[in-house]
Amino acid sequence: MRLLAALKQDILFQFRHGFYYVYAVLTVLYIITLRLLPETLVYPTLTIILFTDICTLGFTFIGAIVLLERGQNLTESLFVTPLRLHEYLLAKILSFLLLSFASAFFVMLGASVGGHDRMWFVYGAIFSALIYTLFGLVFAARARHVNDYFVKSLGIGLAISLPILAYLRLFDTPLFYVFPTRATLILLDVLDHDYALSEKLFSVASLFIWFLVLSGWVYQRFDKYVRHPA
Amino acid sequence: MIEVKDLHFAYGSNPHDTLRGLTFHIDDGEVFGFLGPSGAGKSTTQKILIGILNRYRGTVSVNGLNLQNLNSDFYESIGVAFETPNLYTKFTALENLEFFAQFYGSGTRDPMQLLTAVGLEEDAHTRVRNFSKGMKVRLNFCRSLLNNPKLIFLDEPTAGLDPVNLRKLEALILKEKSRGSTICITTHDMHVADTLCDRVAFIVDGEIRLIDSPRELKLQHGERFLDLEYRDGTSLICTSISMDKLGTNEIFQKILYKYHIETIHSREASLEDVFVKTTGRSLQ
Repeated sequence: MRLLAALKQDILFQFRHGFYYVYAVLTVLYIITLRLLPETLVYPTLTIILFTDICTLGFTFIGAIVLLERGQNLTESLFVTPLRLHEYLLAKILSFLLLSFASAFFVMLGASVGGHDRMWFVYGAIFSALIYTLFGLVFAARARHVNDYFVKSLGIGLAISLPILAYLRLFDTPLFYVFPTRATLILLDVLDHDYALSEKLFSVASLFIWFLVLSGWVYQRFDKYVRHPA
Repeated sequence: MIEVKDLHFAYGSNPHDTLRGLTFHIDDGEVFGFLGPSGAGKSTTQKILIGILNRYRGTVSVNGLNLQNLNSDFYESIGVAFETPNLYTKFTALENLEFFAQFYGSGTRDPMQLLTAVGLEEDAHTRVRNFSKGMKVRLNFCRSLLNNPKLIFLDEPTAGLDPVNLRKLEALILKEKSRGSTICITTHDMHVADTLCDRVAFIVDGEIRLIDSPRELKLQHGERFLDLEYRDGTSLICTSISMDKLGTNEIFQKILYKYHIETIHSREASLEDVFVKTTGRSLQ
């Protein structure tokens, strides 16, 4: 009940602050871009778009949402109700997952793309959205305002996106397999390229481990800096 | 209801304690006020009692529960109104109250009745961003009462209110007291402390200098004199008379029978006088 109430409020909050309009405009732009491209470039571009959409935008917007909320001193009032911290965080993550996933779904639908490896692709899209939302939350927990958030998160955001260099065939190193973005790019690319089962399984496991680690980190940071700030 | 012993607290890595050895108790059904200038430690103390700040030293218990062991169920029966109104600005007043009401397991009050009580019934469907400071303060107060709390924390509850709404809010706070709620108020407003509080704690530089009822303090620190102004013909006469054995005081009797008295005041101290005398500090 509390989780549903918080989730509904978060969706409405994001809607009234214009996040759904931004996503709608971007989704339409992505669809137009994909439809104008020659067929050979559609899938690579789709992978880049989804990677950018889920990772970069997710990372940016979750920070903005939390900071908007903190700017209105809302977290203080939420944590003096019976709402649990995990319910608060889950509502944030689910609401944002919904936004990212709806955008990705409509891009795929609008651009009429699909493939035989959809299960891996969907898993990759969902867990990547989760992970970058969690990364955003880690930095949003301690940021005081939007500029502060960007300064603190930009370096890490760029650093964890480095495996895009391998995808673009500019630079590669086995170290990239430690990055969650490597797994994301593999799973988002399964519609276009064939990957070995071991590579797909490794990506799934990698994203799951990142998800567990980041979940714990986010909970600890919010407990320390948001629920009990001192 | 609330028992605090030797409470110390420091913010972050600050080597100096913001609170330095506070010891006090608040009884069931009492309106207890923390009175002090800005930065004295009033809000910090309240945030500890609410469970927001938990890295303190000393013992704090509410209804026998050590606050170091509290979980979110603790908030089922407490209501909080922070000094800064914290509301969803892109949502209406009613939407704000209905949203927060969903978090409580036990029955909640009708949001519209609460809005009516503070004179916001006509603004129920107005978004909070269009509210004045005083309207936000009143809505904030409504939110603190949503869950029929047994224990209410109000941080500067009357800041930004006009005199009419100030009186309205004071009456509502006293109504909550008459329902049996325990109320903890922080304020730097003497009038609020004097009107509402059964006992006040003077807090300065993180220390409690004195705890007593406002009435007792004003009597203890006052002088037992009456100040009178009366007319003798066209002249205005001001005089002071001891209140000891007033009934047999011949001068007082004479003034009463012979002259037209314009003003008469007992010379008890104001709460502000007591504060300044006790702490050596002003409330601003």
